[in-house]
Amino acid sequence: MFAHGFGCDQNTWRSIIPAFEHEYKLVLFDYVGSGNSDLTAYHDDRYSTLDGYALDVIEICREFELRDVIFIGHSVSSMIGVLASLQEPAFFKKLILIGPSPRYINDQEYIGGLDRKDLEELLDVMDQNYLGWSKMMAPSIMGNSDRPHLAESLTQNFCAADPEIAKKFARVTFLSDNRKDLSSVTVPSLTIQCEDDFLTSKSIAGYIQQHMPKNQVVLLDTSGHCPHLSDPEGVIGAIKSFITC
Amino acid sequence: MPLPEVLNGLNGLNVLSVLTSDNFLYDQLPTGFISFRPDGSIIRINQTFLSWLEMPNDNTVKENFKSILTKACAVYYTLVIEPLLNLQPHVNEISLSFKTATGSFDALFNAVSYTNDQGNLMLVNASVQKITYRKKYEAELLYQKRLEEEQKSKFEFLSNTVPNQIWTASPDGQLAFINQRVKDYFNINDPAQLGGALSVYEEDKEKTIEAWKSCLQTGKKFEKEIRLQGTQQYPEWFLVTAQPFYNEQGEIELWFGSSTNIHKQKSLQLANYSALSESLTTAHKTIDENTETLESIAENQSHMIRKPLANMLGLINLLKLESMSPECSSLFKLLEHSATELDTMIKEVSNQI
Repeated sequence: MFAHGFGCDQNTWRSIIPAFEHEYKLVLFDYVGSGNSDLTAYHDDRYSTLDGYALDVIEICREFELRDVIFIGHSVSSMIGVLASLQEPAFFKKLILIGPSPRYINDQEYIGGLDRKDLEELLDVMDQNYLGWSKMMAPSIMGNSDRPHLAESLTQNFCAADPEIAKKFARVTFLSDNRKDLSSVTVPSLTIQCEDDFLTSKSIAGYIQQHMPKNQVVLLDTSGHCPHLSDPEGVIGAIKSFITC
Repeated sequence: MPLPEVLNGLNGLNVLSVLTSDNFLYDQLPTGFISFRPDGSIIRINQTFLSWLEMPNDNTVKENFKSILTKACAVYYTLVIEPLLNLQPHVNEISLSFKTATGSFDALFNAVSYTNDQGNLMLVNASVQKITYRKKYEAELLYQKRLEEEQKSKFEFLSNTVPNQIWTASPDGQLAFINQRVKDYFNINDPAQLGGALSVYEEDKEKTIEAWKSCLQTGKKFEKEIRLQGTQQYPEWFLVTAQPFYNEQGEIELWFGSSTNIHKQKSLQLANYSALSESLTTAHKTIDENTETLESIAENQSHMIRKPLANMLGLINLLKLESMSPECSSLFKLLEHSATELDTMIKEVSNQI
């Protein structure tokens, strides 16, 4: 089961899917509020914590009667997978966490990478990109005037995710603290971490390995937070060697 | 703008040639240009952008693209824009903030991404347009939007604290907002799911629609007792009222409506009407029966009384034939007068029955 991270939808897995589609039954989905999901299914109460999103994962397992699931979660979905495995450990065979973080906000000696001010500014940036003068100005300032079909593409992509839900998802994501949950995980897991990731880091991957039983780490020699896009071969290799061992 | 010093001494044609050359345009146009690899390492950057960043005019920058963004923007770029540039060939009009030596500036970011034969991202070419002044307007718009949202959420909070169903409708009558009580009563989440008059009980629907349409046309207050069909088995009575809200131009902007559940009172009222009607019917019946009895009694009594009176009158007529003393004659006349008077009275009573 492939679970996308914040800011993306299931299209994010397009470079990974071909490597597994012939040998495995694949489940891809969009979280409520992302991609082509049913926006009316969003309820503030349910999605005010990551547990609501974990429940989505469990409900998909129940609906399709999935067992021994290999859960592959990117970014925030890593912890959603962890929470789902705590609620229904029998559903999951292995967890693969790409760029995981149990807490993004710095907390005393724990370095999550962001502080509260950063989060508020991030929400402002999101606001500015959903309601900015850029949306009201007709022509683009440069380029693509000869390719108007492309010019609309980004807007469509943004529109696919409901801005209000995306903001709430961002807040839930970056205010989550799952450090205490790590020690209860019983399902074997793999962390895939880029050498140079702006949002997470090798030290966070080390923290997870230290606190989560049966966790191993693979470091990819690539940069960014989306190695499944920037280094799909590396990610495919790491996944295959973990799930076949 | 005065010509750059390096152009001093050149003739007019040469100056024009330099001013329109590719290198001059790339570096000096009032737009920032930047090229960087997928890992963010900068390959080339133009002079305009460097001056905005308050960096030395040196194209061989060692900075990473994400390191020249403010932290929040770097996170946003990492989470949203970077994946997009992997998935699609461009992004347009992204609002980002860049760090400078003395602060930061806001800009619009447009980028085109290039991939190799394997579909992997190789390069990002981007333009950056400074929007410091525009940003102020944008901030004002954002502030107004937030204010509006705050007022909206206050209204929604308030509307959920009252026991009534609260709703608003557009000038053409379409439901725009429903409070939590409406959602709970009809088990819906979106006004569109209510389907307007579909929630009105079938028997009341036609008259309700007619009255509502009339109010929409005339702007008169809507007030009607109607039955609404919620999730329960039977419809319930509601007092539904709606008043138009006029904007500064004097046009109806919204209809504010409330529906108060009056089912108990209405049911009681209807039950009281029914009981009163039944009591009146019984009373009428009793009166009719009593009248009939009275008539029967009166008729019987008049016959019973009249029979001895007729005998008395007959005897009085017989006594007229007898000779009487003056004193008896006087008493006889009084007797005859009284008997005749009683007979007349009984006849009148009998005729009235």
